[in-house]
Amino acid sequence: MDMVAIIVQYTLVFASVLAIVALGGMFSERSGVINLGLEGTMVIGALGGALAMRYLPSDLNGVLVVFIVILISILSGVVYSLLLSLATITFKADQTITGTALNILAPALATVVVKAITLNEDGKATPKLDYTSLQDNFVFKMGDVNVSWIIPTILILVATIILLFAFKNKDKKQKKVGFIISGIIAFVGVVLAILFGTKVLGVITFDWGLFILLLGVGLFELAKILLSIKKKEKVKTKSIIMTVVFFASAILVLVLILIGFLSLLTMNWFIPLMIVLVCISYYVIYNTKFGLRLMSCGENPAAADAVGINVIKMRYIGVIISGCLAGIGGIAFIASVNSSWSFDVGVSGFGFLALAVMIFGQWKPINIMLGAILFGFFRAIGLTYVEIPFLNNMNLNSTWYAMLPYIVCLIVLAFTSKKSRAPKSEGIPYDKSAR
Amino acid sequence: MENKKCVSPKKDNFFLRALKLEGVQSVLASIVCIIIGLLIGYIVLLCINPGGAWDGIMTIIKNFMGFTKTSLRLKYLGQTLANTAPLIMTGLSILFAYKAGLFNIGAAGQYTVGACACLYAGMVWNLPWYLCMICAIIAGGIWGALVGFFKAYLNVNEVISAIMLNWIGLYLTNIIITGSSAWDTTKHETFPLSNYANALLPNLGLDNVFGGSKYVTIAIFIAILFAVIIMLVLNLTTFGYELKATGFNKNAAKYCGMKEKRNIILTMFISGGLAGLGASLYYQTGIQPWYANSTVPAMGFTGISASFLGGLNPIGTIFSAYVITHINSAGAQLDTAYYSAQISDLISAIIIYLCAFVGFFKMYLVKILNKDNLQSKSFKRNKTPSDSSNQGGK
Repeated sequence: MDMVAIIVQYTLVFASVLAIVALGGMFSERSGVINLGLEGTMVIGALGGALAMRYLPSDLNGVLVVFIVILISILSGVVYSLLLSLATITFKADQTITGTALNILAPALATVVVKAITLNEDGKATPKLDYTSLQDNFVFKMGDVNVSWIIPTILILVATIILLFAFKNKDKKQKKVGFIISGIIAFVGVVLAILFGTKVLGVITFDWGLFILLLGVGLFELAKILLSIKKKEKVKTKSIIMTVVFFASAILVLVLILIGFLSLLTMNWFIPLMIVLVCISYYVIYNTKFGLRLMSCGENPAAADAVGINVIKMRYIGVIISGCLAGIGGIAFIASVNSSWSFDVGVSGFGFLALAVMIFGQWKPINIMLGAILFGFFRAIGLTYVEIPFLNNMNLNSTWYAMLPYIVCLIVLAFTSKKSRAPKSEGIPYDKSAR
Repeated sequence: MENKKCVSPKKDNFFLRALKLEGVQSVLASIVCIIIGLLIGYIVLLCINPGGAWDGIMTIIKNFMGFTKTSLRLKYLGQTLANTAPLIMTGLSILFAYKAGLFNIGAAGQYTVGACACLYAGMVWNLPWYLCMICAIIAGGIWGALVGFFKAYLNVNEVISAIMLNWIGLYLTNIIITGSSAWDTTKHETFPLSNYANALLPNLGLDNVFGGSKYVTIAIFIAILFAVIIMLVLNLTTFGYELKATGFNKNAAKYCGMKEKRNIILTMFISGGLAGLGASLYYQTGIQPWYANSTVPAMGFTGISASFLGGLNPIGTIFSAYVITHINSAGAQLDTAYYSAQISDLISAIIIYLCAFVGFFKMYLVKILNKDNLQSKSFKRNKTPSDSSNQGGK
């Protein structure tokens, strides 16, 4: 059990880093810019976050620390990725070369900065930055975290949304029903908040919270299906799949809680963040005006321009989003496991692995997450093979296991690239006069 | 159209005529990149410690010229040349692939594998230096050809597969070298190559010329020779022409009957071989033993800057490789009480970044020159602007 827990834990840690960065790459490539500089952007994001952790007061509230550190990582990632967008979009430079230059620049810049700081403060220049005191805030045990506040918050949020819709509704009867329902939900939310606040109802820990969340979303999907049956519409296969997936995962979580597996896991905040980001990206890319416009700039910028979309602006936004996500990925990489990081080694190729994950995921958010979990698993095997009796008995050089994710990546790419369909205009600077 | 030839353009002075040459523009652009890179480096030095900034940047620019003794200067010049030779090779490797439309970021991995091959051949099999060199070329070539194979037959993006192969090559090298009899388990590095005199590159008495520097060998001449060969292959042979045609338009090349798949693999084999040779020119001088690195050697990535700073010209690569090595090796001489040696890495990284703007810089220059030309012409000949605008196009 311990063995499985450790593997799952590492898999999720690496998967979260890879998925977040790969999503960044996806946004950039969907807009038509190949962001090879992800690796460098991760380093700079990590540097920003690590510096923030070093200089924030150590008695600060944990949630606030996580929030501020991630924010600063995002900012540094965005600023650094602006270097890419400036060269490739405005000055139409070669995207591959610029990305590579940024990858070489980042570790050098980070090392110079860190060495200057350590020289100033400790009198001895090392490329290693220490941020032990605040790193604990990123890590938590599934059974220890109190998420009781989350249910009342969600209820009140839902009530607000219903209220807003009710206001807009012109039918008086429906308006009335909307008011009443939102009132009831808000009331329940407030009561629950009070009950949880005064500890009448006990504490909901993260694992149970996850179960409730999955069950809730599953019920929501089920309600949608029932509604469409009642309206005599055709039920979408997609929503049936969603319902099954959510209920199945809720049951899985319940089983895992009952056999005491989840309480063994040490998680970090980037894992739930990954899931949230994947869901948001999925929604944004396929269901919003912005996402569809972004994709059109990567497929056929001339046509997009002809219908009035500002291609340059869209590409800038794409690269900026990728800078955001790569920044988060950078801090996720160094803060989720380590309490100090030596910046002269960069982020050991994770940016490139993320690019491979993105290609493997065919530039689609859900596939990217699944690919990231696959690669994370092999990376985890590489680190924890000592714990696995079967692998440990083979007495292989540990370097073979370190090599594993890269070999798997290559093989997987060899099998999936044949029919891979990249955004059509990626890598080509948009030239209005060539239209 | 015919009378266009008769109308002789305004006689430019020598300077303006020179500026219109493609080669001169490239050189100028590279020099501008270097100057801006140094300027930014100076600003970084100012930010870290304003007091020693000027001394610092002068140390980087002067490098070994800062020494007062001539013999010492020559010795460090020799050292720099020994470091330049492998960089020329990795630069050529990237340049050669780039001419065929492939971005060989895998030069670093091919370099690593080449190092593995030449060290293993020299120290385990006790082969003479030229055979070690051939081993390195073949190993690097195979590593490059793998990338080409994945690209040609399985449509894998060459950048991603090359990066994966970089890491695989690094770990493989570590496994092979640490498991062999060449590995010194007490020092965690390979035994010094000077124990295996056979494998050392001959120096033909060059060490006496360069103030007793042990590491000056024929490497630099081999590198220059290969630069010339590459230039000839690219410009004078059918193969070179096919490569460039494939680089311009893959489909057109295929349509013309060129075997584009074979060309891709062959290009990557040669490109990888060049990188492998670079490793042999570095490690077979005995300048450094192999450590079990956790990162891919930077030489391959620096090669990218060498080829682009050299304006993607084999001869230009020789000079740009020297300049980069000059700046990089100067980092070690910085006053460590104020600055870290990585400042010079930073400066060369900034120079590479600026290289991305070279295209824009040239375009801008051409624009200015043409504008100048047009104005003077229309003034002299009293022609309508629409007529003379024919000259302005691409």
